[in-house]
Formats: sequence, C-alpha cells, structure tokens
Amino acid sequence: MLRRTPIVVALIAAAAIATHAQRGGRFNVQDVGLTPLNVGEVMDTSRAPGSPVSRATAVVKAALRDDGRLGAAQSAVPGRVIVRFRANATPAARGAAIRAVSQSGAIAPRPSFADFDLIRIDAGDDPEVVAVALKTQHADVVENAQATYRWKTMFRPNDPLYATRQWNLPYLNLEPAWDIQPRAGSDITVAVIDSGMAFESGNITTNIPGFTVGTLVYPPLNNVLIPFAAADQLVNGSNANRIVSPRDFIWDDDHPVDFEGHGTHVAGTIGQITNDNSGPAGVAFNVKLMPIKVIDGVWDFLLGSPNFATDDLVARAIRYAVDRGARVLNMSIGRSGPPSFIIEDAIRYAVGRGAFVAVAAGNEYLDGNPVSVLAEICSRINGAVSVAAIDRNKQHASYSTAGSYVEIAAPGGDGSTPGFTGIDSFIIQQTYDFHATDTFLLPPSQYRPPRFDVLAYVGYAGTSMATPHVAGAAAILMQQGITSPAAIEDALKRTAVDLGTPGRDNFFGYGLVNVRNAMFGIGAAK
Amino acid sequence: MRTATLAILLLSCSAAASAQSVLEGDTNAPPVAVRPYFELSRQQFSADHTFENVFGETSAPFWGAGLQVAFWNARLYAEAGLSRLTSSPLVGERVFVSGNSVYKLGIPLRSTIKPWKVAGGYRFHLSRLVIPYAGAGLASYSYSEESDFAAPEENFEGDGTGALYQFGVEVRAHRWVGITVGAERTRVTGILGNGGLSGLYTTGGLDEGQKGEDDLGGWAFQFRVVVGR
Repeated sequence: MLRRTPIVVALIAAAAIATHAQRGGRFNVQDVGLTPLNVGEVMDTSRAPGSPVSRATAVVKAALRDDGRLGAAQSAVPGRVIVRFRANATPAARGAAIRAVSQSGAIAPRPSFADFDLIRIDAGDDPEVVAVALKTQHADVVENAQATYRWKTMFRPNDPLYATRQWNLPYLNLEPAWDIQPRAGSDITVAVIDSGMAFESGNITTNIPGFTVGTLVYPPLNNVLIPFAAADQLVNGSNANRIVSPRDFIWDDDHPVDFEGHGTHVAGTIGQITNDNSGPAGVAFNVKLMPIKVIDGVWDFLLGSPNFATDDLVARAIRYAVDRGARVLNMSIGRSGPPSFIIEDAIRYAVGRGAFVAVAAGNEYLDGNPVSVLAEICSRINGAVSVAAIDRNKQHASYSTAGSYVEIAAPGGDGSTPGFTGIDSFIIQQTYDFHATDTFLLPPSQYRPPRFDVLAYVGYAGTSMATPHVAGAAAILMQQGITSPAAIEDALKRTAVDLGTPGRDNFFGYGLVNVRNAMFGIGAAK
Repeated sequence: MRTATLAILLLSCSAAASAQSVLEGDTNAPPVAVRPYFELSRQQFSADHTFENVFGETSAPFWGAGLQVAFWNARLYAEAGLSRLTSSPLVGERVFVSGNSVYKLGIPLRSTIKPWKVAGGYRFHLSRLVIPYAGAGLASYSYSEESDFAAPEENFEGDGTGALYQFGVEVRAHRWVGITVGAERTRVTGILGNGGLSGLYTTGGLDEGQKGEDDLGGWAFQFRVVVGR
C-alpha cells in the first residue's frame, strides 16, 4: 500500500505486530456533522529560497511555459491567411494582389458572418503563412492581413495545488481531455476498494485497549471520543450525493471509515473536487464514488474489527461493487503469494458485467520483485489492467514491481526521484494529517486518541497512487462512449506514450496513459 | 458489372423500339446544343459502413449544376458539372474501434464533399419525348474532415479521381426543357481507406473487413432539369 516514509510504515507494522491488546467491541458511530479541520499541506522539506523544493518549483514553471500553457507562442495554421481588402478594390485587383504574394493563393468564397476574406494557399508552396500575411498586408488593395491561429477551450483547474504541486495530472494530457469532456465522468460510479474513505462526519465513542510495542507500554484509553470528518475535497455541499452504496467489509456495516488515509488519498486522485479554488484536482472529478473497505489498519485492529483483509473479503467486495452499479473498480491493493481462484473469478465477473478494473502492479521491486497475485490475474483479463508507477522524471519508480504482467504506467511518485525532493516528488491529495491519526507512533506519554477530522494535503508514493490515475481515465473513457472494459483497456494501451524500451516492456507495460488521445478516436478518413 | 448490364439493356430497348430514330437522332436539333442543367441527387456511398458509423447515414443529398453539350443530331453529349452537399458540412462524430465494435465518441466531426465530373455518352432517340442515355467519364472528389478539439494535423483534406458511369432517361417536357431521371456510379479512391475508420475496414483492422470502404463514390440517383434543345 502506501509508501509514506519507510520509517512510518515500519513503525505501523511494528505496532500491529507487537500489539497484545484485548479487542474492544463494535464502536458507536454518531453522525454529528463535524466540520473538518484542514491544516493545508504537510511538508517534508523547506521551501526557503534556493532550497531543493524551490528549485524544483522553478523547473515546473519553466516546463509549463515551454508547453504553451503559460503563454508561449503558438504556430500559425498552414494553408490559409485572413485578408480584409479595401472596399473599393475590384475583384480583379484583389486576385492580382494575392497572386503577387503567393502563386497558389486563391480567395475562398466569403464565409457567413465574416467581414474579411480567407485566402487559401498551398501549404506545400508557401509553408510560411506568417510571411505571406505580412507581404499581403503591403498590397495597395489590402487593408489588413494576418495568419490564422488555432483556438481552443482552455479549461485549467483553478485549484491552487494543481498549479504548484500536481505534476502528475498534466502527464496524462488531461487538460485537453477535460476540454472534450467537461463533465469528467459524472455518470460513472467508481468503486474504491481500499481502506475506506473520509466521506462522512461523526464521532466514535469507544474503549481502546492498551498494547505494547517492544518495551513501550501504551495504556488503555477508556470511553474516548474519536471524531471523524468527511474530506471537504471529496464531498461537500452540493455534491454530497456522489457517494454511492458505501460498504465496510472489515466491520460488516455501511460506514467504511478510513483509519489509514490511503483510500481517501486514492479517491482524491480519482475524483477530487476540482476547479473550486481549493486544494488539488482529480482526474475524473465528477464521478460518483463507492467507498468499499477491505483493508484493515492499526486502528481497526486496536478497536477490534471482526474481519481483516483476506482473499474472501476482497472477492466479495468486487462482486458487491459491480452488483451495486460500479462501472470502474480501483484496487490499489494487492498481495504476493499463491494465486487465488476466487479473486480471478470475481475479476472476471466484474469485467463480464461491464466494469473496468484497475489494479496496482505492486511496490516490491526492491524487495525481490515478487509477482502481485491481483496484477497477474488482471493481465490475463481484457478489461482489467495492472498499473506500474513512474516518477516525476517519467522513469520507472524505484519500488514499482516489474514483470510480464505490467500493462500500463501512470505517475506514482518516488521519494528518490533525481532532482526532486519531499512532497514535490510525491502524489499529493487530501487525506488525514497522519500526525493526528497515527498517535500510536508517539511515545506512550504522549499517546492519545486519534482524530480523523484533521485533513491535510499529503504526498504519497506507490503503485497505489498510480492506479487511480488509470481508474479516473477509464471513467472518462466510459463516459465518452467506450462502454466495454476490454475496449477501454485497448484504448489505453494503443494510445499510451511509450516509455523505456520501445514497445511493451516489463517496467512500463505499453507506456504512460494519455487520456486525451485515448478518448479522441478516429474519423472516417483519418 | 451491373452498370454494363443496364447499358446493354438500354441499348437493346432502343434497338427494338426504333432503329431509325436511334441512329438518326434528332434531325431538327441544332448542330451543337448547349444545355445547362440543374441537378438534385442522392448518393449512396460505397463506404457504407464508414458513413453509417461516423455520420449515422449511408447516403447524402447533393445539388449540382453543369453544362451539357449535345451534337451530331443530339446523339452524342459531353458534360461537365459540379455538385455539393445540400447540407454542408456533413456532421458526424469520431469513433473508437476495438475488435469488431465501433464506439461513438460524441466528438463532432464535419466533412465536406465536393465532386466535379466530366462525362460523355450517347443519347438514344426512342421518340421525340423519351430519350434514354448512357455515358462514362471521370469524377473527382475533394474531401475534408475536421473535428472539434483536433490539432490541425489531425484533420484531413484529400482529393481523388476515378471512373464514372451514368445512364438514365430524359423526358422532354417542353421544347426548351427536359427532365432527366438517372443513375450514376462513381468509384473514387485515394481519399478513404488509408486511415481512420475506412482504413481499418480496408486494411482488415476490423475483423469483418468490408469491400468498398476505400471508395468515396457510390451510386447516385439523379433528378435533372435540362434547359435547351
């Protein structure tokens, strides 16, 4: 799952393993509509002048200027020049003036609503339309002339972190995709089969048993109130109805509270509220979200959850999602080890019912590169894809598992990306501030109940983070009319930007997802 | 093949009807009759799978005009004409193809088709009022395709030229006016079949490859008003 920092992960694992707590009972959920606290970005490095982060930000801004989004010049459309002739110019004089500048020039029939004329020129004879326009301008019978330039809608989210932190979304060529489809997946439900999601607010009143980590003894906390709140960048106000059929398979109820922050972060990449002048953006920012909890964390363990993440739970969750109407399933989860026939059956069931499945390829490249069971299964099913991670330099993320089952790549971030450090090398989204949630990492003297109502913009890295990019892309493609999961996989692969060794390879699969090209299709002749 | 059969049928009919008038033509006609015409037609595209999927229809109406010159007692004719879509551009949508399935993407695509033709043939004077004709010639089509959200290089402009066969019947409604009902078969390659959906059909990118998807022509059914003798 997440790769917040190796130390944090190690501590969580240690805490889970070393816990000898007596499990408590079911907790009491009280929906009191808490307003979340938002502490902004959680930073790992300084942004002082000259710091690595500042230098990296400068590089991002320079890159944005280079690709035209910050006002770089555009090239003129070949083969045509706009001319306004003087009113008293005769047709013969007009024609002569044009031919004097370009042998192939011809005045096209005047289009409706135009107070100017279009001159068609042979792009082969006169490739420099700007020069032709300038020459035309000097003709006696011409009042003015110009080359023509391509116009387009220009949706660029106003979310402040999109401009400053989200290097990952432009890598998918998303802005032109959003121009084509401003609704960004509004008819599609994406199931996030993960650790839950911060989509509702309330309190949990419970007893937390004591536990030990090595020599550290953590006392029981009795009758404590644990607040939790919806992530305001996932659900707020008018779009509260975007949450569909939530389900918690760990606790067997309909309140998949996210004690890990992982599912919330993943959901943000898929469908973070976008263009709201706040926080970051999401890929398919209007999708409906179906939070399904199948991953248990430390707090689930301490609070005495009746279930934990196993094959049977995951298989049931997949079927639940499809039966409740999800058309895209995001599974930023996995395991290595022996294959599982129930997982394979469930994936085939999902695809057979018209749901596209995106799964993480795995984060264990540096740990022996074991095969991820789920990723391997999906690579054999048309309509389900395994997703590898790339870093900010579009290189293989150091942790991203490689193998013949890797099908496609998306940004996953990497803390060891050359030239980038800290949060600028990660995928940023809103989730819990882990300083408020992971109190079991504090010394026993400072140990206190967790708070799940303190939200922040946090950088994570992993194939878990890469996968929701593909799930969001699939939602956009499905909304655009590519309704078959196998066809979506086909579109993603055929239009992917090849990385690494030419052709499909074990690190990037078919390459980096390009949403705009995947949704643009073909015409009759081209 | 069908064109040839129809031509033979017409020739047979004319021979059976009146060998004398067919051979002599209209002896009252001027040596050279200049006859402008106006035309409405509907073309059934050969690339019907491409047109059905991209434009939602396999045929399109055209209007046109041209000039016909009849000579040798109005037995022979030569003509040149232009035609345009009555509702131009033709509006469709981009598609995505996977396997044998075509998915419509809702991204508007506009096409223009601008044919011009030259042809010549024989007019069979069965009677003073009913004059079948058959001919052949060349058709040249200019085709453009432009999509919303497309970069200039993603749009398409192309030209192609091919053979044309035509036949029909002219009914003289007035000394100076004739009404013609006819059919025309064009085969114009070089535009479709090299890319896009038509290319997939032509090159077998779609499992169910289709004949004729590289042909922008097809059968056109024409109604003409001819002015002149």
